[in-house]
Amino acid sequence: METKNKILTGKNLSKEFNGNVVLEDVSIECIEGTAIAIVGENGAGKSTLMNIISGGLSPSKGKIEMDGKEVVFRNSVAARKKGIAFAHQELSLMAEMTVGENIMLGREPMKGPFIEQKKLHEQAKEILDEIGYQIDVNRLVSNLSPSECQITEIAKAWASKPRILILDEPTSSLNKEESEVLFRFIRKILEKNVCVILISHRMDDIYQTCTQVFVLKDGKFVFESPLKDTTENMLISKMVGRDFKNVYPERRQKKSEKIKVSIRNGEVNSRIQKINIDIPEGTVVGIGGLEGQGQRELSKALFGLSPFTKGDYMIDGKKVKIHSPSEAIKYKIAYVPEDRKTEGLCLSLSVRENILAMILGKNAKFGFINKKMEKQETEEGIRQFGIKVNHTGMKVSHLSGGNQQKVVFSKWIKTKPEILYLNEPTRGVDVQSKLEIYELIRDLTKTGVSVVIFTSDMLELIGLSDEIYIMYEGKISGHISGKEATEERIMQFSAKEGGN
Amino acid sequence: MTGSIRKQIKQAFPALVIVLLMIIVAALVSPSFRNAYNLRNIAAQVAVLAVVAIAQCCVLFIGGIDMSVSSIISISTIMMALYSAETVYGIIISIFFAVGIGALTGAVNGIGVVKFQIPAMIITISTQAFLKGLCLILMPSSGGRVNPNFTAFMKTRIGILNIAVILAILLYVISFLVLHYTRFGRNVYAIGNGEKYAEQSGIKVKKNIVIVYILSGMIAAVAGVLLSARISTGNPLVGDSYAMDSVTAAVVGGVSMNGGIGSVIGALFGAIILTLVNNIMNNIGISPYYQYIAKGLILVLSLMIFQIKRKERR
Repeated sequence: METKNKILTGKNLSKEFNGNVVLEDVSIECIEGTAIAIVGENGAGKSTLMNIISGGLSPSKGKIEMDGKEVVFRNSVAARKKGIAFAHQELSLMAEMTVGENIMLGREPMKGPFIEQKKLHEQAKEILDEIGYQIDVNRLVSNLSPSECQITEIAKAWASKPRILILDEPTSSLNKEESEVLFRFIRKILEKNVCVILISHRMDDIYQTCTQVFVLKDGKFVFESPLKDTTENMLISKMVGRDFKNVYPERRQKKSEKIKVSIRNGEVNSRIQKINIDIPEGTVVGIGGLEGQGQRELSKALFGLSPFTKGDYMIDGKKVKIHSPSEAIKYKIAYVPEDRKTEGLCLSLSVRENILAMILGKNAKFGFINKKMEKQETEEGIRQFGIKVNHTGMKVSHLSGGNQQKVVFSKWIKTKPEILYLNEPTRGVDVQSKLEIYELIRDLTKTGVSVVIFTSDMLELIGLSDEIYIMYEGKISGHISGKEATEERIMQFSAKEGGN
Repeated sequence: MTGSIRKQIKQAFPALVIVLLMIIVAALVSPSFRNAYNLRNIAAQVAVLAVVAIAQCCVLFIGGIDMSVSSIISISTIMMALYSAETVYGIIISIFFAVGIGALTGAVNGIGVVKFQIPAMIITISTQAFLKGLCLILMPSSGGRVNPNFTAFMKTRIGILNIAVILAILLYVISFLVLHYTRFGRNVYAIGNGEKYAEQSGIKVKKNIVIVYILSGMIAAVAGVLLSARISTGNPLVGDSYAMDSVTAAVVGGVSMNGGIGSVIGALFGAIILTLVNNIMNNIGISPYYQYIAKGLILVLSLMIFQIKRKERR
């Protein structure tokens, strides 16, 4: 029996960003001719781990060994030279270059100082043929379909003939036949002693190709096993299995009768389609699913940032047209964006200026700001939300993440909204502030405000929402009440259209 | 012509059509346009702008802009006027100074952009202002004398074209080959398509950006040397219009201001269009002030047309 060598070993890898631990003491072995599946929820640390292995990030702790010798990758270029290639989920293609030029970028065949264009395209074609796809290598990437782009990205990674090939959600825009071709290719290169690392939320992909599975959860490996000893449900329960802590305020007891907002057949340039949701008054509606399934598009459409291109938007039973944030604000809609640092706050301005940003005009006399009112409103905002500041003139950039987020909330609550759209409201926020934000959301619903929360944190989704919609590939794939929701059920809806 | 090169050259097609139309119409309408002296004059004018446009193109391809070319041109003419007189060594030394200053300015621009994250527009306007001050100190008004042997040499005709025009054509051939058929050129286009992706694909983005700015400064200096042979003196303000004109030439020729799209061929046609506009307006006696309006309109219109077309594609 031939012996399989370890290509790469990651030992006790940890990574923290500004004190947030995203990967903790993870060890992994990449052995010739094996396919490793890495599964886990959003934010479990999968991408971080892959970026460390492929040189995109350096670990805070731990080391990487290749062929028994310790290595330090300065960047992804260095890792690629050592034979590690990464096909990114977020594609890294040049739109104005041909398929062939993209595949061969950085390893063009040369004749003296000049690139041999013809040979380049022949070589690119050979690589695509080897994988088993037919794309005209002379086409420009900007004219390709999403699945053809994905295939080009995979071919680009394979072009360097790596010893370790990392594929991050490689099938997310491939159809069934195209996926089958990829699986056949993976099995073929496994025989040539390549190690494949596959990240996928499609259980089918994993069972078709992999031999070993690791489950990542909250930055740690919680489960590791040969794949043949596992079942789909077993993996899902390992991915989600953690205790609910009693951190969420009580849900509303009775279902609200009055529907505040409803969307019928909402559509944004076919990026999201057939969106039908009802948002009752005084209710928290959670919208979840795996990352990038159309949640961002939906939240932007709801606030008019990139409006619905088709469908009806109704508030209080009346059809409305919301094509810009200023129109949304007229309908008493508030919106807490995903990235508070770039979208939610003016970082270089003071706490006072940020809190008052939405209402300055209303309190002005002949265009001059009313100083007394300004002071009152600011102090009220700070008290109401428990924002920790030394003085109101402090720059928001000096506040912690949690306090910054409270300033964003305070700024919007000043507009006295009836509808509140929240985008990842607790991302990068400390636990204490998280709890306070949950309380606050619940208190608001008691005054009749309808809240829609977009979150990739499964616990938050289940714990906070009265009703839950799950998105998959731009459509609503499930609708359940918060009481009935379990992580398993949501995972099922998240990974399959329609769910079952 | 294979791959994306064909597509990049296609961007120049509208400009080519306009050039041909302008020449045909002008030749039919104005007898003075057809006259050989005028045609040679146009060729000489195009040569300088066309060379600056190469510099501007390289920077636009990586998604930057270089406004310092104007002062580099002025200071090059001053170098030629101050140091080129007397001997052959004088010519060599003054060209060396001019190109050296261009390279140095380009290095400052490039490092400002990649290391200090200064927007290209701002850093290049700053170096432009600095150099302009230097020009005015060295030579407060037009003066000095460029070595007459040098000017005579550049005006020597081989066939119907003079040496300066032939040099410009040569520069076009070289830059075309470098940008489309070498790895450096491929990297330039890749960076213009997306710096992050280029980095992920193993391209040394920062190094290449600095090199592009240095090249831009050097090519602009060469344009200044060509210009000095035409005006025979040094002039602290003579380069001023070239910053905007070179951007206009490139944009009219289908080069995207967002990087990654276009070809130097297009910039050549753009330079011809601008020069023809000037020449025709001069011939029918329209005041230079209106020529500014014409140039401004051309730039605004071509920006609008190309931006709309490219937005639709996405």
